[in-house]
This record gives sequence, structure tokens and C-alpha cells, in this order.
Amino acid sequence: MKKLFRLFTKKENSEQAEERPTLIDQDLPQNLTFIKNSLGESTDLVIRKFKIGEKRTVKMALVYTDGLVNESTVHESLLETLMSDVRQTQLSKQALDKGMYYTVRDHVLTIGELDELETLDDVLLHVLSGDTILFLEGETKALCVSTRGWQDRGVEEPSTQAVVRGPKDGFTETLRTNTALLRRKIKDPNLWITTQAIGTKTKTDVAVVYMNGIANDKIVKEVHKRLNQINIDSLLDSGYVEELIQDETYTPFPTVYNSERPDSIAAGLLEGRVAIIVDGSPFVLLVPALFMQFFQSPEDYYQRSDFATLVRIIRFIAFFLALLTPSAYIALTTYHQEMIPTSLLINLSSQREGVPFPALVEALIMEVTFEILREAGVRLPKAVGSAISIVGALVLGQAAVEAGLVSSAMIIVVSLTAISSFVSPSFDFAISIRMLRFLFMVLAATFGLFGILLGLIVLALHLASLRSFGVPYLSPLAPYITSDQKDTILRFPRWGLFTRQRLINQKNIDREDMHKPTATSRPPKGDSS
Amino acid sequence: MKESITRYQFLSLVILFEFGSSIIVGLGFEAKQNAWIVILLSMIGGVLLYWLFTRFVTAYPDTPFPQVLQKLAGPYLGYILIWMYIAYFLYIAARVLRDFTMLTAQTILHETPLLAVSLLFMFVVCFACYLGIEVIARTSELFLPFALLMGGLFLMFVFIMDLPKVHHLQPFFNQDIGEILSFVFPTGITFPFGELIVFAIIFPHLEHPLKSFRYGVMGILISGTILLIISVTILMVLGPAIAMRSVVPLLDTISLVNLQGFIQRMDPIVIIIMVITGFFKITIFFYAAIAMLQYLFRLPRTQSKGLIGFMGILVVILSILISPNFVEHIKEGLDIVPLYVHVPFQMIIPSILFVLLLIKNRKNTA
Repeated sequence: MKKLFRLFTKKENSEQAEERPTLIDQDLPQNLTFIKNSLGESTDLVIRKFKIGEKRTVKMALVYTDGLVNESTVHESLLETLMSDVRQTQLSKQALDKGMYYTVRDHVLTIGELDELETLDDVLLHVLSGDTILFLEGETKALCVSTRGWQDRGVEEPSTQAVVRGPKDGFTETLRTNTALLRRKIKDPNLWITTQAIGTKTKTDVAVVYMNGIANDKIVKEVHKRLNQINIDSLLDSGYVEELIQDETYTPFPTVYNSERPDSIAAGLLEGRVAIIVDGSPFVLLVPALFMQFFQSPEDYYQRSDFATLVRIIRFIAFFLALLTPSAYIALTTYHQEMIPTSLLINLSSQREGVPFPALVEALIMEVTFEILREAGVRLPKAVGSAISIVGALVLGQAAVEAGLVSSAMIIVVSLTAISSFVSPSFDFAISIRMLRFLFMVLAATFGLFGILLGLIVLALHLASLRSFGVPYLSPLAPYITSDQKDTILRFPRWGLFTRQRLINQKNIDREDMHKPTATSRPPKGDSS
Repeated sequence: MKESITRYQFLSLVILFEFGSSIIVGLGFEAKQNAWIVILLSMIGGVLLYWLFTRFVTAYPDTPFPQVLQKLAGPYLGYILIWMYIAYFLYIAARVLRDFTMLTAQTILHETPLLAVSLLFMFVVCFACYLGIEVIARTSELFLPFALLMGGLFLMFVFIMDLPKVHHLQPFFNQDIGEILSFVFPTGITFPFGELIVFAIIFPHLEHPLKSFRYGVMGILISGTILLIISVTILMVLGPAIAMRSVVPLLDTISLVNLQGFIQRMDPIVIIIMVITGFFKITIFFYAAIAMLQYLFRLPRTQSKGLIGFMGILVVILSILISPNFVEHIKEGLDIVPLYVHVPFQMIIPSILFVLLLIKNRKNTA
């Protein structure tokens, strides 16, 4: 399907390429009319015509989009310099001889980023990106001045992946802010950023960020290759990119990691992963993403290592609880009553006595109800949220038991599942568990424990067959890599984390020079107290 | 792209394969108190057989097993041999499938029709074979710790309860050596150790075939030792008479565990071991047959959905038609199959091939 889509879009692209780009004309009004007509006389387009020169002979025009430019830059650096400052300074004869265009370009404009454009298509693109274009009468080139500046959300605490301890800044919707946040964390010349525009309509900037010399060249190349293959009209969020570049479409598991946290992405870059930042999305993608990564939170590295290990084990247990509690309950009550200790069995069956449904139906009712509640909770305004929680907790919980619809054990099972499914630090991962849970419930209802076990085997087979940008999804568990176990389920103390993960990075493995004692290296024995 | 298996994955495949069915139905209980001698001797025989199987790969590394057969036995006889091995592997896969569906039906799913259980089981096996040996190997690596953990839990609970009684093992050597050897050959050696012939198909997938063979020996020794410990434990708990008659001695043993009236009915431990090891045993046999068919028909793995599905259904049907009831199935498995099916395929044919190999080598050097 993806391939078909690509074929289709590629054809369209080749047709476009045949069109001749419109060149800038010497006639200034003609250029301006073209721009106005192309944008359908949109009201946010600003065209300011003026004349400069000693005898006010040179006609010029500024074109920009209102709201996308930094007004003060346009006023101070462009209009003021061109219209008043120029007259007060004496330019050398040599400079004036070259012509007004070059004078303006080389001597007048007090602005950092400057570009020359030759086609009107480019002009349109830059105008719509927030740049200001300077036209001169009689020139076939236009000056493009970077004046981008628009209203955006400041750097705030991320709403997902909150931590108790650790940096609280989060990515924003602006690409430049996001790259700056990363640069602030890694001041290394090897942090390389390449940007390209994707989306025939949206022309969204997509930046590929990686540590040169640490990231695996093959993976970097693969990322570029897959990004170049994207041919789509719009790119509104990094989710689009994720779906288009992932290895396997038909899997419930995410093979691309995303995060709102600069520290998390910076840590990934230092491990040799490649980050993809999409303009307009605070969620930065990180590849390759491995199964175990979704059990790790940035906070693990800010806490003590023993505690971090414990928390990771708890997340692991929660993963299985979220996946299997309802199905285990169904299997035990339907097929394997003999496995429940007698006293507990008596309790359970006395509770279930009044319940008219089989365990599967009972479980499905409660699980679906919970999913509805959760979905409603996400969309609701905060003010109404508390009402939902009261309805959910009291009405659906207690009242459902009292009405004899479900047994109270079932309520415990559902709540345990619900809470466990939110333990995973990654929201995407929790979604996959929630989906698979229903499959396991059906398996448990038809084949009992045997069905659950076979389901787990299929799950393991599926996970083992997945790859993320060529790296086996389950590594370093399968294929087993001993040296990477220090940061998988366990989190070794800082001095123990001296190598990068092997499959992600193959060249530059050492994280610290083992021969040169540094502040972070292993403390001498006896000093551990 | 060549699918490759690491050494650890190979080791875990061998261990889980050896555990398949043998850990559940027990090994050498016919020899009563002397079961442990039978297992030890069988293990030694198994290592020797394993050495024999590896000879073909040392002679022709990176060559698929069917091709080796044709090289050694000539194109026509080799072709027949390939089909014979395919039939053998499918037959054993069907037998093991029958074993496990019967055991599942007897232990946990009392009223589910056999056909439904075997179809579901076979579906998972087919899915695994479709994904290829690399994925199977990785999965085995993932499940080995769980299987070992479950085995460890079994031993722990049984010993905490102080169930094993040494007097069940006495008197030592109450049978003469000939009688003991009759349990070693053909039954003990062929099942489960001789069944390693199936790994002849997997050897070429190893990352470093020639260096990895010792991991196979290690696998045999580890699995053999664990089998020995568990069999002896079962013998000491149940006593030779009950152990011999029991269908699932492991389950009967663990059902005796009752700690403080709370930790009791630890059956899931046995069922987890049963399903995991059974899955790998059937999968490896089935994969071997499929790999040979893929070789014959020149079918790439990704295009063999139909073949795998068809063969899967064939195995399911075969597993049901194989015998009318469980008693006959077990009887066949103990008396007929080892001598008339296992011995030719595991010993006679490989030995003849080995002789042919030696002759060929001599000719080449001369």
C-alpha cells in the first residue's frame, strides 16, 4: 500500500518537474502582480514600495507576510537602513559604481542571513516561510532576508513523560528552538544537523540530527533514504514521518521512539541514535527504537542506579500485568478452577454466583467501559474531568457490582490492568499493550492457559521478527549481547556504563577513556563509603 | 540475506529441543531405579551421534543438508533420501504434536476437541516457520531463561516440601547390564538425543559453523544433566512403580506440593514448560522439513506461505490419524518408532553417508 502510494506520488512529482519555473522579471510591478495573484490577494501579504538613491530614482519593494516576520527587524534593519541611514553615510565611489543591487547587498543591509533568489516560485516559498524579499527595479535577482519570527509557545515543561527529578524543559513547535535546545545540551562540533523540506504543499522542514562519528553511518544513510522517499502533500506532525519511515506497518508496537524531552533525545544522540525533528511538532523522533527502550525513562539516569533498576523491574512486571491480568482471570475462572487455592475459589465463586455473564463477557464489559472512560478523559476539558472520574469510580465501579452485573474481583482486575498500563514511560507502547490485551482475553476464553501461552509465543515470535532501522527490535535480549545488559533491565552505576550499545553503534563504542581516570570513572576500592 | 544464528541461540535451541517431550513424559523410567544410568549412557551416545552429524558440515560448510545428501549419495539416491528425510521429519513433527495435544487435553483442556488444540498449536508453529530460523532462534533465546526458571522452581518446591526419598532409588544395579543397555538402545539414545539429526539442517545457518559445534555438545550435556536431575527427583518422589506408569510424571510430582495450604497446585509451572518446549520441538522438526522442501522447490522463505500452510494441515491430519488412542500412540512411540524409524534415520543412513564421505576424502587426497 505504501509502495503504491509512493509510485502514485512520484509520477505526480515528475509532472511538476517539467513545468518551467517563473523567473524574476526586470519589471518590478509585473513581479509584484505575479506574487499578489499567486496568493489570491491574501490579506496578510504586505508589499511596501519605496524609492531610494540620491535622486530617488531606484524603485524598490519589500514583500513579506504579516505575522510571520519579526516586525522590529523589518523596520530597523531594512526600512530604516534603506530609507534614512543610507543617505547619511558616504559610500565610496567604487561601491556605487557596481550598481544599486550590489551596494544594497554588500554594504547596506545589516542582517545576518541573506540569500539571492532568481525565480518567483522561490520567492513565494520564502515569503510564506517568514522571510522578507527585497525587489529592485531592473534586476532579475531578489534579495531574501531572513526575518523569521512569529508567535510561538515558549519552552515549557513537557506534558508527557514527566519526571520527578531532571530537567523540565520540553520541545516546542518551532524547529529552530528545538535544535537550539539540543545544542545547549551537546556543545560538540560533531552534532550535525541537516534539514530538508518535505511535503509538496506544507513544505515542512524536517531536520535529521546525529552525532557524527558516533552514529552508525548506515543508519544515518538509511534515515536519509527513507525521508527522501516520502512524497506526500502535507506533513503536520512527526507522527506522519513516523508512519512513513517505520520498518513494519502491521505491528502494534512502535519501532520509532518519540519524546518531548530534550534530555531524552540528547541521551539518545550520545548513544549513537539519530533524531528526526519535524517543524511544527514538539515530539522529536529517535531511531532505532528498541523494545527495551520503552521500559526506560530519562529519570532512570538521574536517580540512584539501584533504585532505577528496581523501577525498571516494576515497569516490566506492570507490562505483563497490563497484558495478562484479565486473560489470566478469565482462564482461571473458566478452565482451571483447580489451580486456585480452595478458600479463594470459594470466595470467587460466591461473588460470581449472581453474575449472569461468563467471565469473558464480564471482563469485556468492564475493559471496554474503562477504555471509553479513558478516551473521554483525554478529550474532556479539565473542569469536567472530575465529574467523569466520579462517574467512573462510583457509578461504574461500585454500582456495577451492587447491580450484579460484574463481580467485585473483576473490578479489581480491571483497575489493576488500567493502572499497570499507564506505568510504561511511553504512551505509544501502552497503546499496543491495551490492544493486545483483548486478543489475549479471547484466547484465554477459548483455550485457557494453553491459549495464553501460545499467544505469548506468537507475541515473542512477532517481536523477534521486528527490526528498527536494521537493528533487531528485541536486542540486546535476543540476540543476547552480554555487554549491553548493563543498561537494559538493570541500570549499572554510572562508572559501569562505559560502552555504548553495540548494535546501534559500531565504531565509537567507548563512552569514557578507561585508562584516564576522570571524575566519573570507577572509584577506588575502599572509597565507596 | 543469509539468516544467521549466534552461538547462544544455537545452545538454547539445542537445550529446548532436548527438553521437548522428554522432560514431560520422563526419560528412562522403564529402567526403574536405574533410570539415571540409562540417561547418562544415552547422553554419551547422544554426544557421539552428534559428532557424527557434524562431520557433514565440517566437510561441506555452508552447504544445505539436502545438497550434502546429493553430493554424497549421488543425485538420484540423494533425491530419494531427501524425500525420505522430509517424510521422517514431518512424521516426527506429527508424533510430537500428537503427544502434546494429548497431554494438553489430559492436563488442562479436558473438553476441548483435539483437533482445535492441534490446529491452534500448528498455526503457531507455521507462523514461526514462516518467519524463519533466525526468529525461531531469537525466540528460543528469550524463552530459555523462563524454561530454566520454571525447572528451578519445580526443583525448589519439591525439595522445600522434602518430598524426595532416597530409598526409592535403592537397590542400585538390581538389573544386569544387558537389561539396562536394552533401555539405552534403541530408546534412550534415539529419544531425545539422536533426534538432533534435525540440526543437520540448521548447522549451515550458524554464524561460525566450525567454531560453534562445541556449543551443541554443551547443549547436550546441560540438557542431559538437567533431565537427569529432574528424572531422579521424580523417581525419588513418586517411586519407580508410579513413575513408570504415570503419563505426566512431572505433573504428578508437582501436584504433591502444598506449602502452608497456600502454595499449592503449581501445575502452571509444568504447563508452561510443556508448551514452550513442545513448541520448539515441533517447530524445529517442522522447520527442517519445510527448509528441505523450500530447497527442493527453490522457493524463497517469503513466498512459501502456501507450502507452509499446506504442510501444517497435513501434519495436523497426520497427528490425528497416526493412532486411534493414546495408549496405542505411546506404545508405538516406545516400541516401534525407536527401532524401525529412529535407528535407520539417525544411525544407519548417517553412518553410511559418513563412510561415503571418508571414501570420497580418500579419493580426493590420493
